[in-house]
Amino acid sequence: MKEDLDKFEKAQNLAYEATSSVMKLLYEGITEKEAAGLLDTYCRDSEVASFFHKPFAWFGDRTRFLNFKSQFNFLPSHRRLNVGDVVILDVAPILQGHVADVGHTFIFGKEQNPDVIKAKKLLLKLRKDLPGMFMSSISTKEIWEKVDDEIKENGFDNIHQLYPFSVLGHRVRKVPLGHLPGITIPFGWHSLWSLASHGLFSELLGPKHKGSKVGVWAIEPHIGGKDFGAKFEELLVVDDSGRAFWLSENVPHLKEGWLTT
Amino acid sequence: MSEIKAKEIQCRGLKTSYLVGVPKSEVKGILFFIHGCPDNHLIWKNLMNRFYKEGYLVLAPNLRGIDKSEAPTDKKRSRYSKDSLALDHLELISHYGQDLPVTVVCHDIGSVSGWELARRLGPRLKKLVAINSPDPMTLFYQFRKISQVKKSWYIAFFQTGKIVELFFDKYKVPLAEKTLKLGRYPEITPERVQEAANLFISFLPHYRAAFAELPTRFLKKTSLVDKPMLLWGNKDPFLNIPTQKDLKTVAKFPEIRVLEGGHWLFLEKEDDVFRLIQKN
Repeated sequence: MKEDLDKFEKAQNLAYEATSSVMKLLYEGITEKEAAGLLDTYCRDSEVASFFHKPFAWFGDRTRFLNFKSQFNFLPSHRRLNVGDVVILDVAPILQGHVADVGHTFIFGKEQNPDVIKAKKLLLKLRKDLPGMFMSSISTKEIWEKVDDEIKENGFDNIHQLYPFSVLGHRVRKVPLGHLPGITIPFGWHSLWSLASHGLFSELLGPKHKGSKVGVWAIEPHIGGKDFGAKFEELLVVDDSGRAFWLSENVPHLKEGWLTT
Repeated sequence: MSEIKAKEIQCRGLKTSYLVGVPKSEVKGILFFIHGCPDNHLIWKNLMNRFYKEGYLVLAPNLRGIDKSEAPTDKKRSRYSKDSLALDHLELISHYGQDLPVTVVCHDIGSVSGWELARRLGPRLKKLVAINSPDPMTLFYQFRKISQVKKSWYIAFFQTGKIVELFFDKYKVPLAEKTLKLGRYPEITPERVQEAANLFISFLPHYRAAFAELPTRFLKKTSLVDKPMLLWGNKDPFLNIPTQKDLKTVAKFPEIRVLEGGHWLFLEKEDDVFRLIQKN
């Protein structure tokens, strides 16, 4: 387990290195497709051959999935970046068979948006509370509902309910043949196989989830304000004894100045 | 080399060596030089010094695997891809200034990353100056003419794995000398011939990656580079002068300037090239 966790952490660190580096390379006018392409190149140059899902980049109002009707709307578009836009970079590399899935939100440019700052505080509170929820006796279904209530009580919309199966998170596992390309989009065949071969619904932390909490989860609360969305995504471990903890504390959203480039 | 310094930066786990000159006073913009084969970044030293004195921040990396720029240990071709090389260059540029306008100057096979970098700089791109340096798609269209096939047969030979490596082991010095002579390199010394001979083999992965990427470039539409300037020596023995038609899939409103000279035009006609790069 320890050895596997180290490898998951290595994959997660690489994913955050990619988002942090690409964040610095963005400029006014770059498209979501071009930004996602940079994430793809960054990971492929770092021994990644396949992804749990294709790298995503969303800018401005697309960060709150406005008018998204099919899963293909999640794919990066020709939307161009403007100063003051909220940006979400979401990348899920498979490194030596170990899946990471991270989300990194920030504002492009120096502008401060009070609503985004409020969203940041809520996300950090959720990050603090989530391990406790996993360690308590409440079910995963109740965790989903509790997070949903908290988002709405704070005046935001629950955007992760627009994800496929409305997931707040999903399990990640060691996958075979990670050195082969993913082929299918937006989710590579590794992810489809990994989810389906373990029963699909027990792997997806949605509003109807049933099953054990034990395992490694990619948790991704995604909240929406008036014209923006914000999220974090990182790996949470629940061990056999029921202890839950974030895989790493070295993540961008815990660093000073999070949300600004 | 006056205020031009040799430095190194880590790009996704690999060391990249480069030359840089940062003016002490106000910076007019970035001049980014990408060398070709069989050269290294020192080929730009004269132009770099001149632009540095004009107040430009000048940068010239060694391409992947050349001199102190590390090659991937597993011979991974992706580190030589246009996307990967352009990302290396973007990381280097962002290290020195996110907001400064950038003029990209490329020569020979430096075109693979030069044209791609120009596409990825967005509004920060001031101008692309391609000196005897076609985008690979342009070169592909030029292969319709038998004269270009005759000039570029060596690119096909470079794809032949071990055979070409064995050939280089034995004949790299005469090959380097012939290349420099044919290309009208201005001062051919034994040291320069030896240097070119030693560098040749490091360029093979670049030619192979550029060739391997051609099919995907047909499937994927790329954006056009706005108003690039192409400077061409009329006596270039390796590359035909491209036409507007050859450039239609890669450039919008290209400006083609043909000067009296060979393959290393920026060495032969340094004053003219210096003046034309500065031209708005």
